[in-house]
Amino acid sequence: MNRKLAKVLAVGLVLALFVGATLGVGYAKTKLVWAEWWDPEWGEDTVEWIIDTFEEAHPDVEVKAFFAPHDSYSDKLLTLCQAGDCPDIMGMEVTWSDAFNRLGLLADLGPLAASASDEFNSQFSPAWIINYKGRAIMAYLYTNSYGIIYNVKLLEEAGVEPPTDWEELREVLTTLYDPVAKKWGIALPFAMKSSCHFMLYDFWTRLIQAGGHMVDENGLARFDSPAGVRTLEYWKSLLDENLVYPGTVKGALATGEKEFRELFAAEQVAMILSGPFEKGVALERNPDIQVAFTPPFEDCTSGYLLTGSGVAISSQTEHPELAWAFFEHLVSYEVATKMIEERSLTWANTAALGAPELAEDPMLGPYSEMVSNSASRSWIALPSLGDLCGVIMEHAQQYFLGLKPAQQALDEAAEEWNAIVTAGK
Amino acid sequence: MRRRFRDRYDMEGFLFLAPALTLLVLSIAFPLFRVIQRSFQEYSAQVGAFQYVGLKQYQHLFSDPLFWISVRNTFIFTIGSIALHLGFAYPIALLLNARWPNVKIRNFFRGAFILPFLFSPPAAALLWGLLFRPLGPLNYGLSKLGVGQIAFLGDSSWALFSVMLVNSWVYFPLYMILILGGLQSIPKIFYDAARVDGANWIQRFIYVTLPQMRTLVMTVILIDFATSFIHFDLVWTMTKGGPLRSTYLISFFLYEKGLRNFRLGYGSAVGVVIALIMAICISVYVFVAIRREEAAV
Amino acid sequence: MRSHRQRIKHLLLYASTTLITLAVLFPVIFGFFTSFKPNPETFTYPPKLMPQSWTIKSYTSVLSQQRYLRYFLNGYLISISSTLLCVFLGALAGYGLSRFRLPAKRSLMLAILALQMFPGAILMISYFNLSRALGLYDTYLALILIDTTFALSLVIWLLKSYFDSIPVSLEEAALVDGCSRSRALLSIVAPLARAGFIGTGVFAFIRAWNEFMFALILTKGPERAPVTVGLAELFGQYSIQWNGVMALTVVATFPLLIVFIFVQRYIIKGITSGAVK
Repeated sequence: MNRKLAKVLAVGLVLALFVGATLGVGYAKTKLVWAEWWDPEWGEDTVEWIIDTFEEAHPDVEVKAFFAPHDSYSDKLLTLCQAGDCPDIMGMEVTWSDAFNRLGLLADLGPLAASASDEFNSQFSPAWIINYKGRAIMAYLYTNSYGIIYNVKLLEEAGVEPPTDWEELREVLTTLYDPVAKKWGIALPFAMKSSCHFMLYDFWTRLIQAGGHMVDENGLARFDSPAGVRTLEYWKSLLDENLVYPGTVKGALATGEKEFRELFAAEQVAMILSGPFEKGVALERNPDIQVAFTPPFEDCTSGYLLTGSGVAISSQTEHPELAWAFFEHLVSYEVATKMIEERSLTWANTAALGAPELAEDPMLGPYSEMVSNSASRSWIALPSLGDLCGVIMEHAQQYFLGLKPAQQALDEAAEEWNAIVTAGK
Repeated sequence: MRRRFRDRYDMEGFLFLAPALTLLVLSIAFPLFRVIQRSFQEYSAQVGAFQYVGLKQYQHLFSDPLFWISVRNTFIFTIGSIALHLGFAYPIALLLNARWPNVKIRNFFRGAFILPFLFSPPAAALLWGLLFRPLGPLNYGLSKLGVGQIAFLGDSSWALFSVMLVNSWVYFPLYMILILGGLQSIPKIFYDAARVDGANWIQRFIYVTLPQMRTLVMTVILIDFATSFIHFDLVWTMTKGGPLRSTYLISFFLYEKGLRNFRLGYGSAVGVVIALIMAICISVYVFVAIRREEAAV
Repeated sequence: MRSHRQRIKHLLLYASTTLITLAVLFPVIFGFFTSFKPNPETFTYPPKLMPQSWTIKSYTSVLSQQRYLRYFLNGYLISISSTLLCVFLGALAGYGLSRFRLPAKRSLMLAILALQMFPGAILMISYFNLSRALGLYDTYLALILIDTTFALSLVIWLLKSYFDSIPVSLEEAALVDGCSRSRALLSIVAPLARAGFIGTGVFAFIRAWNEFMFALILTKGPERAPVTVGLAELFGQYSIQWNGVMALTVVATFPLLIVFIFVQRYIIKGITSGAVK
């Protein structure tokens, strides 16, 4: 080997070992670590802005954002927490909350909420706190319900009005279907990689509309009902009529949520079934796109699924009150207004959501109707949610492919579901 | 006549082996010990610690039909990958080993074939996800040829083959390099001798190249088996095991059932079983296939 | 007559190789152009190879972020260090296995390979706890050692067979002249094995370069994490930055490609004279 090169490499190695051995420096202020996955969704500027505004009000506190991408977030956080190095306040999905809770990593928010500020109490709905096994384990920062979102321009060009129920949706899809130009009215996430997306957005939402229930209070399956059959039959009929991108069942089984968002932004499909945040996602990709929610649908009921993403406070934190104060800041009117305006996230603050101009908004207007409907249902924390999603998706796929009837698919799914839930208890 | 141990063996050699063995043993032995121990335990939230539960985790594992599906898929995936790797790598290596009129051009091609190896697995998975889309470039090309749409990742009879293809695309350059080097080191004199005997190129390939390459190909298969059997990232990014469970690999089972839910006891049992399956396969392979090739090991 | 046949043969050789190259490289070319497309164009129908409107937004949005520079540097640092360590340890072990009569040598070599069999994932938690106990959490050293561990078995196997192909007679002469073993290895065998070192080094480098899981779990953030962790950042909750991933791949592998072309002639000779006896 070239001697010079060897020297450089040797120096590099020594340097690497030296730098590697050096550890971080300590902090004088009270340090609060906030784990989050939102850098790409909100922009790093926004994350910094949230921290800066909090630190202005609490000069003796230093908040440090700990970013981990959504895909690998729970793996990384669980490992950290297992080792006793849990961030004080953590972005949390209901999906993951059981795993954290089972290991005793989540603080009970109940006592903290009892001494919350008046401003908080007047602007935060108790429904946004998730109770699981008798403890308040997390709270929503923003909520979601999933309905049909459409591209205003594409529907106008086709000369169709936005649908107002599921059968009208079918008619609109038939009009929009253009086999020559390869354009479809809707793309749905029927791929296994989007199993949780399918279960929550497409199956659960449609099930509530069909008058069914997903689970009982113990998390055991109740979807193996006539309403469940009606749900699956509806999606299969759209597939069979070639109304779903890309026109074949097998093609649809390869399409996931990440793909349908791109297809929607690229105006290849005119509609998707998703939440209000899609506006921000679509605009980021295609600044000219105009999106809106359809009016709320009614099948057997007019209810929707209520979900959200939020935060939890670590049971290991030395400053639970400070962590709670930071949470109050996250759902304050100031932060909420900014997040609603800039990111179309329906932030958990009644005052900000109640702003009169929002009722006129093509996204948030219909959305608040969906949320306030009395038939709407909250999803609940479930053990091993990832496995449960896989069970629903696998059996739905078998039905879509015509391998077994809907009732049988749901019965088998319910059996596997209950086995997972029982084992997780 | 039996020689004494000290005469038969040259123990000084262990001095050279010591640093590498120390690192391997230290960095693997301890974690491995914990894993084997954990596989007989279960975390109890009431006690807040791991407790011994005997063979419970293993019983649970063997009674899960998904585990057996994943084992079957993994064997198909591994054997298919090995076949495709060799199927790509061997002929291309032969081409690049042929006598080229211009060495510079040949070197250019050798360099070009290495490009796929530079894609990190998630990037390669994403790239192929784009190519495989139902209305993507590959299907567009097929429709121009008059072939109908193929759901590469949506059709359960295609999906496993599609992901094998991608796995082969990313990793065949490694095997190509290995085989090419093997071809180059076959002494020319063998070929000359064959020519004198009037052998044509097919005969030369069968009677000279293949036997000379046997040891190397055996080693390549071994290495490929050890890496493909525990493959995770590429297929995970592309399909997460779907459609149905047609691409569900054993490493997904390990991740989903053991690690993602932090059931360390169960995950460890899965890991131990995977290692056992591999150890059995490799031992059988080494003793049956490589036995005569004392040289290889 | 003969030259005519030869010309046809060469033509066939060029044509077939070009065709296969194009087939193999089509995805690479497609990915390269995708990195210059605006996001929606990636999904329009009919699919186009070339961008309709060229943009370098994917590049600027990735490269304008300071931490990506850090990811690159970390990636190179970790990969190069672990490569050097790997080749050094592998060379010693390979030499030991090649030149000495050892008891149970075959079992020993199988055992070395066996260490390769355990899915890294099950060892993850143990490594995490171990790295914290030893104060190695969030350090380069932890990643360097782990990357080395997981490539070392193969490197030993390859280098062992490489040494096998170097005639023993050269060293024996030196040993007779009173040269020590290590001296013989350093001044006689090593120069001959140079190509082998580079070839196996490339292999070790790429394994380390592509390693993601340990890099994710054993680092806290961009200060120590390599480029694979930066790549994962582009896989968001709602969407993937497809074009960004392609851009990052192009940027990250460009230096690799240069090095690759540079050492190419060693690679071919290197990895392989090894694998065969």
